[in-house]
Amino acid sequence: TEGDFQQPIQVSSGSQFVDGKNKTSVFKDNVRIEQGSLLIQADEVEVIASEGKGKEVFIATGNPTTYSQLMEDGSRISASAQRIQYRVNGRQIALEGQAQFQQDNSMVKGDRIIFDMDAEQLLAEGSKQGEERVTTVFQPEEKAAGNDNQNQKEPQEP
Amino acid sequence: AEAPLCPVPPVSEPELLAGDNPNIVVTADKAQINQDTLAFFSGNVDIQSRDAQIHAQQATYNKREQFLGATGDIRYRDRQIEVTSDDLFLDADSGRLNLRQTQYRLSAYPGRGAAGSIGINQREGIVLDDVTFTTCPAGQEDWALKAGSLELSPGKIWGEAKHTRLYIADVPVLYLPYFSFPVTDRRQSGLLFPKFTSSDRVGLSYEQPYYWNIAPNMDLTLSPRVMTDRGVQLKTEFRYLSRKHQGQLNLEYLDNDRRFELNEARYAYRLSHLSQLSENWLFSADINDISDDNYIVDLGSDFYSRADTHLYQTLKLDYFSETLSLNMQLRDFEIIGDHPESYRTLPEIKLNYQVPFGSVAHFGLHSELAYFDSPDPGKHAASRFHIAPTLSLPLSNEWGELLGEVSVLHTRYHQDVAADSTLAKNTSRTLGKARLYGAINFERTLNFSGQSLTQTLEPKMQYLYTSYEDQSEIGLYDTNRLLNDYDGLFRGQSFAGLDRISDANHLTVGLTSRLMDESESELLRASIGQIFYLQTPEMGNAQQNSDRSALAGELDWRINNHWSLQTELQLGAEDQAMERSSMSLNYQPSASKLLQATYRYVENIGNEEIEQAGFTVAWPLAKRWQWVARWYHDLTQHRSIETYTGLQYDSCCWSIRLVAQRYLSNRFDALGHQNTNEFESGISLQFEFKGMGSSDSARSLLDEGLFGYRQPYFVNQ
Amino acid sequence: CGFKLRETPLLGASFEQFYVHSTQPHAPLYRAFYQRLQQLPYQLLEQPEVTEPVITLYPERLDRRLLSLFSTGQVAEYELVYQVRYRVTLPNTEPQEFEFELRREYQDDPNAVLAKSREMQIILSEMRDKASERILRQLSKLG
Repeated sequence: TEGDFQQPIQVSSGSQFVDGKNKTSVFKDNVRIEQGSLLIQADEVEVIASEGKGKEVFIATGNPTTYSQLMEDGSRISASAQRIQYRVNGRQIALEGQAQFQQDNSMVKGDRIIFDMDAEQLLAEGSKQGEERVTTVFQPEEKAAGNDNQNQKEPQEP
Repeated sequence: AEAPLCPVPPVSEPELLAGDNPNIVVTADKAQINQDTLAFFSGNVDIQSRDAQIHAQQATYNKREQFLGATGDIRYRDRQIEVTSDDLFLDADSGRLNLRQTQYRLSAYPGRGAAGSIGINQREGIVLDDVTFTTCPAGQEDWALKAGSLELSPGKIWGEAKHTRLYIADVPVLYLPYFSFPVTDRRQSGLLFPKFTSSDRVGLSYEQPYYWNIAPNMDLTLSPRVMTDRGVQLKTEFRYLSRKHQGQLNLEYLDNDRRFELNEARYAYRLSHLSQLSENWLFSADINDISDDNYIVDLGSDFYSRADTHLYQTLKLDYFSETLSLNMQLRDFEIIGDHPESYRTLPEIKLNYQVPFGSVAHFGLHSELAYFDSPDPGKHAASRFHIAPTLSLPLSNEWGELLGEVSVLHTRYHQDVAADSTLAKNTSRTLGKARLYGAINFERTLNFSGQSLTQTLEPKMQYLYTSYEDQSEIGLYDTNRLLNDYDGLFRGQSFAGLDRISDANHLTVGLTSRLMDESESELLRASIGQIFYLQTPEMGNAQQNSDRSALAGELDWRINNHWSLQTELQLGAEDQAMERSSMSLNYQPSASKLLQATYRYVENIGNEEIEQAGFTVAWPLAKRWQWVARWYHDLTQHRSIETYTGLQYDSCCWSIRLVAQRYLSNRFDALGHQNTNEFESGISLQFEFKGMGSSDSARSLLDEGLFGYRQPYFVNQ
Repeated sequence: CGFKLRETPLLGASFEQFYVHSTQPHAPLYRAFYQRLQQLPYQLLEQPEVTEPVITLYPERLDRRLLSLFSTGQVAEYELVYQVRYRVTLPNTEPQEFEFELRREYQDDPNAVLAKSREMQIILSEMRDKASERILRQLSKLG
């Protein structure tokens, strides 16, 4: 949610290695990056802060590395991939390699998924050679518990 | 087998999600989802749900408004239809999926064509507008229907078209405001679509069914039949099916038949009904009636044969439990022709009780109560009570069977006869009966030209004793002598019904041998048997005074894949004269090729001697021409009783059949008599759209005519 | 001459206990077959069980075909064609459908219609007993 981006980013990990000259640091074994409701977990995270405070780029890798966050409307997003790149000021997250993205009752799988958190817009693509394609699964709208399901018009067909 | 004349391109099964999976799965090269509501897909988009599968180049899906749109060489497939189109959208509130500018193909059925638009929806089924429809293969559209709209409703076996124009070879030949045709390959109760026939019995006849789906479990088919020589006959069929009740009511009505000597309306009605009243109670009805004796002969019928002598009128209530069955019936008959009215049972109650007795034996009680009366004043009414406790000991294992049975048969009558009648007003009869039956199965394997066959030898023996009592004081209500073919030898009774129970002190010996191939299917079965009377029965056949019955034998021999022989015979005991014999030799090299020669002889049936021979041939003359001929000759009367020949041309999607037949006319004259040497002949031409309620030609040609027609009974008796 | 008593058991090993039912309640063929089975040393289950075979009897069908005519053109002899269809589902195998026909001759007599309908009952019940034997023989091949 909007509030997340005002929060400070905390990073915890088993071990840490800082390269002051190039302003990059590498965290290893079960790394956790938290910013408000945003949470990234990975085996290894490389943080590039060369463009200064607030413009860091986090590159997380893992088998898989996961990302989750609460949206404005309270729906929860959870995603996983081989590599997740989080651009702080761009408020954009890019997942590559068996990327999977779950929101509310739809789920997308593909080779590369780019999610713009501000515009809440997702772009997914299959692999270049075309063997791995983008699969999207929509679950039918769960009706609010109150009203009875029969008279509600279920989506007839796709 | 011959190559199929009309190869129907295989319909590829749609890959649907499992029945319980409510999701919609979309695979594509690219996907974009905004605010988790609006999704865009592009590049070989494949949309799958449990009901259908769509392929397109681009698709958009709005989750909140349930709107789906797709464009770019769309291919839609579900279990019923396959559609190619270039524009598709799902209309959310009606739940209807619309496709425009389409080509379509039905999957369960060779119908295809083009349609301006197709609407598909779970409840209303499929609606095709501005549609062409044909069952002809691509490139050979010999005929096509063009209609304003065509509806295929779910669960309905008929398609209904409105504003239909029929084109034959692109020439419009017929306009029909409403037009229905069967869209499943199951032939709907013999009703062909629409029947154009011409015969000298009715002239040119055109029958057009109108189908009305009153409710999911009820439908009504109205088929007006226009006959140039007779007028308009309305044939209706009302069917209903619920969990507990099912049945069918057929009404046929012809107001005034121009060729009928009496100017009354002619009708026929038929009700067959079955209800399961509760766990153990069943009710069934089988009521048939026709307005006059010549109804079937003149107008034909889907249910009765012109040679029928009577129609059933039965109401039945049954109770079944593990050990008890109670069966109450009202049984009457509609006699066709000037035969004396028959006895009927109003009512007849049977009670059967069967329970194990000790560990191996069984105790059975069969009892009956019947009230006989008849519309024929000459036949007096009578009531009969019968009770027969039986103790039986059935033993069987893999190599043999032994059955011992002892029973007492007690029957009481009250007969409504005058004092001076030879029959008694009240009388009773009590008989004892004992039966011992044994059978042993021997087997051996034979090697016959490289094949290992099993041959069985099954000797059977039965000793039957029934005490004698004079029964001349008892009238005949539901009794006559049984036909004693091989199966009848071991029956243990020589009369049907209960008014005569023949005394017996005889030994029946029978022998059956079977030859079976590795898969245990019978190549040959031969049986022979005879009854040896230790004491000549008082109530035996009058003229038969030898100490043994006729020798009965039967042979069923599958000589090889093409040839087979069935024969049955009964040789009289004293003079070895043939009492009954029948023979059928068949040569059937393929489904559409058959040669069959049959011969039948009966020394006395209904005090007539019958000797008749028949010859049937079915042969494809050319790739699409099938010829069938049948010729039955009566050797005692020296005349042929049926000469039938049929020629059928089968194109892929239509067929035309010419049938010429000459047969014994059993039309009744005003007094109800049938003269015995008047013949009737008829030529009938039948045009039929194939693929719509079509039938496989070789088989159906064989079924036509007098001796081919196979008629269903209302079973569950 | 090489004949010996038949050894193959009436029903194969997998038919120790099984469930028999008909799609129509109390169908006559079901009652005849059930009665025949009660004389055999097999256990008839009350309910279908996944681990045991299930035999489903479909509705029987009786057709008649003309064999010979009286001089009046009315039928003298019919051939009764009794069609039996049933399905056997052995545990974790695909259900198999079987179908066969039995034929018997029957003489009609328009002057004794009630007696002839009694004869029809006798022939029909004999055909049902024979059908039960035939089903047993076919089941014994299923092992």
